[in-house]
Amino acid sequence: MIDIKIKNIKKTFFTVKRGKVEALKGIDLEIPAGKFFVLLGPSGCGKSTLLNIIAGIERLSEGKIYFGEKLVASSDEKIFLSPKERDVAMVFQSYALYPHLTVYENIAFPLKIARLDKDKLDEKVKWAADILEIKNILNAKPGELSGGQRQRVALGRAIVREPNLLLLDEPLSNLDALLRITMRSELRSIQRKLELTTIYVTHDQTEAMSLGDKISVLKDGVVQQIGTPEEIYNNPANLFVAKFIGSPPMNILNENLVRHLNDQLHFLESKSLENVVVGIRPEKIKIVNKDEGIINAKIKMSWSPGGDSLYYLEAERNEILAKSSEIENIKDNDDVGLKFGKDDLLIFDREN
Amino acid sequence: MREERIIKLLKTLGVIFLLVFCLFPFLWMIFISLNKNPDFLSPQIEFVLTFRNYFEVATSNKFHLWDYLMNSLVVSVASAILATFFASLSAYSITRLKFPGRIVIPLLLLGFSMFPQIAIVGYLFGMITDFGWLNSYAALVFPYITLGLPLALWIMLSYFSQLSTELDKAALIDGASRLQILFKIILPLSLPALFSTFILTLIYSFNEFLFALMLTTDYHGRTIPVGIALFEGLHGQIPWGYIMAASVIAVIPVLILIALFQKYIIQGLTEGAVKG
Amino acid sequence: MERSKTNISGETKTAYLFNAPLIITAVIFVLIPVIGTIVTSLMRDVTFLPEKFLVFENYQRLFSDRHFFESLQFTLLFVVVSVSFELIFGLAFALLLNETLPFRGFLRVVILIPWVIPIAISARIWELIYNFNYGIFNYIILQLNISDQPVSWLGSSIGAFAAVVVSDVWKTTPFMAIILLTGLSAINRDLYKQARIDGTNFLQRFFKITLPLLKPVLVVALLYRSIDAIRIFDLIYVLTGGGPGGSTSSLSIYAFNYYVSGDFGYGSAVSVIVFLAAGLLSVLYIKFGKFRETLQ
Repeated sequence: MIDIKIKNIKKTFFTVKRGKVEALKGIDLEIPAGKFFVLLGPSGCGKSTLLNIIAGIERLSEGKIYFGEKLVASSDEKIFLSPKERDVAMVFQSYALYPHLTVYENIAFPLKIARLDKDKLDEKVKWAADILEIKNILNAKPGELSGGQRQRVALGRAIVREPNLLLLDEPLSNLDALLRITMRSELRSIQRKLELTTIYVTHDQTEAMSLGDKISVLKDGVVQQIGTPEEIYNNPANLFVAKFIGSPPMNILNENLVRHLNDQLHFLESKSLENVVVGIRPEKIKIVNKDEGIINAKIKMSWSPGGDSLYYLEAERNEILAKSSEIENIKDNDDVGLKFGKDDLLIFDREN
Repeated sequence: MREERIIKLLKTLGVIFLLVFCLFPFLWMIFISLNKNPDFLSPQIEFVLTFRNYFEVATSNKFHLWDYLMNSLVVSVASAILATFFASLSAYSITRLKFPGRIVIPLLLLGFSMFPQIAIVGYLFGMITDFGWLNSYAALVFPYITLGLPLALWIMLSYFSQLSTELDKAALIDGASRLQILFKIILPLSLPALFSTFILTLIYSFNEFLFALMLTTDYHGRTIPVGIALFEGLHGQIPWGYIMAASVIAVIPVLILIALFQKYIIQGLTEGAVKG
Repeated sequence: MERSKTNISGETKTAYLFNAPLIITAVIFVLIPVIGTIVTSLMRDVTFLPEKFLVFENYQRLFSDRHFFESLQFTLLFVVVSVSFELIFGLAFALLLNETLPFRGFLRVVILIPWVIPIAISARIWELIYNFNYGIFNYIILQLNISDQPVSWLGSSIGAFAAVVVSDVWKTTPFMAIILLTGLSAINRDLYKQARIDGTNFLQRFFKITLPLLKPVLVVALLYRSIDAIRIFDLIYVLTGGGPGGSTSSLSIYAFNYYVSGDFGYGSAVSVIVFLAAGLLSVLYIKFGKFRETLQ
């Protein structure tokens, strides 16, 4: 169990087509020992690059990385420990199972390289297989397994070494929806049981929110916010985080509506209209009878996936999505009122 | 890390070795062609730059450079076009139509491609003579087509099988005949494969030697590989300068091809030889 | 259900039509000549002599023909040595080209050069390089004082063998390299990343991952090249003519010489032997190459 400190990591590389690309522009992170830490961000934000750098399969251009007290990588002191020396384990999106080896041999591979003696090796492989519940397929080859099984083998290979650090690069993206949800909780319980410091990369914010002890949102190589799921959801640091997190996504209100609301709720205080962007999450909007709310709106469309009701409505020429956990008796084209408070609004400075 | 530096060193050495390995004879050919006196047992290497070799060999009446070149080009291009065409027809029918022999034909052709040319050329000589084709373009074009067919077929098969048959179905409903579908829809969509096939069969035909040696008898029909192979001097002294100059001229067309179309060539080879 | 012979479906008819050019050409210019050669091998077919059907007399002659066996020996030795070197160099180049290198496109063009130069032409270049009087090899040997006598490369049987092998390896290594490169690039890159994380060094990665996963392609490439090498003719004809003293006379050259001297029957018999040898390897090639599966 080890904590990880990442200081000011920058990564620049040169491509023929686009010239100089700054994949990471100065990342600072602290991952507490034994915690499940998520790197969340859209494609191209640098999360996989960061993971590779932490693993040691890519070199950082600038910065330092500490595993516990040990400096494993530093641009100034020119230290770059190999993955083997860092004692990390990693699971790739494609699982990277050795197709010509059996499940047993796949899991045993790192131990064999480390020259563990036969009996200990066998013991450890069976231990890992037990935890992942794959004892019955130890003799099969990856080609014969289902996606879910392959995923478990990949995990088995990772935990068998009881590494300092477990790195996961979108390991669940190739699974179907139902399997993904089951694997999520299994992954979490295994991690807790083994108290493995874990870094998990994903672009799926639902996944991040349900898995992470702590989340770091990345965009274009820069950390946007670090916090617990609740912190990120309720207090997004900027517009990007607010729009990225939350399903369905937050509504952005247009100037008209903002002015109208401000007249009633007075939330702008000293800020002027041109300098802010105001949003509100769909589930914070309560639908009431006409004229009983803050503003009036007209229902354009409604539907009920699962147990929620979603309403597409128009207020002050603004199209807004509202979500309610009850199924209301509202029909299309009804005129209704919307009720919410000053604290439900999320206000951001307008970044140019 | 030490390992990283070792790898880097190996890579650099590897590239140098590759360059030397591949380019040495080639550069040597150019060097000799430009040299007045290629005798290396004289005290120093003399390099006197001269284009005389090129001039002489290009205007010589004894060495029919341009005849050879022309024959080579005509024969290669013709056989390449026909081979590509025949292969496309077959590949289309194999991937789109059901008929007995679908699987047999490619396997058969594969088997044919393994026949040693020597086992064919003896009897072929007799046949060609009987047809009256000896020393003509036909003598070479047809055998060359069969040389190129196996690879051509596998490339086109591989490519066509990746094209969805929905296009054909739509066209059939629109009333098109199979031939029309092939020419108006499938072939236009297969330009990369057609191109690769054409270039590869062209190269194979251009380089062919044994058939050309046996089935042609003089400069009217001979191709350039044979011409250069048989180029001997007048007085027992082999005119290396001329030979190399002629070789350089002969090699220019193919070199231009690979410089421009390296991608297609490699793609075609791998489609046909590995995945096929 | 009865299938009337006259009621071939339109589809089948079209298919036969589409395949006609290919089949007809292949039959006339490949199948018939091969059958013809086999038949000729069973006959006495010598210019100026009346033809006679002999059955196996040519073959019996072969079995007691010392030169034939020398030829066979040379060919087999050549195949083994050449293909081995081509494999090693080809693999080395393929591994190199598989890495991200600057000027990759340029390197790929360079590597194609030996392969696209017509073999007759490259044979002449090598002929010059090995030349006793004018060759660069002898020049270097003399200059560097490795020996005070120029080496007669093409004049000694060992020298000629080496010369033929070197020239053949030069010409066909690119082809091997490209085939192997395809095999290499099919290996999932993540496997290497994973292996690095699992603690391997680069030699271990080569032997535990690259080689096992490359094996199918290696075997196919090996067989294909062997089939090709067994029928070698062009290079030897131009470089050594089969000499000195018939020591570099491959089976194809041996057959050819008989054709040229007019004994088509005997030449055909030798050709049939080459055909059988290549055929044997081809059966293995088709079996290992999984062509049937690809056809589905």
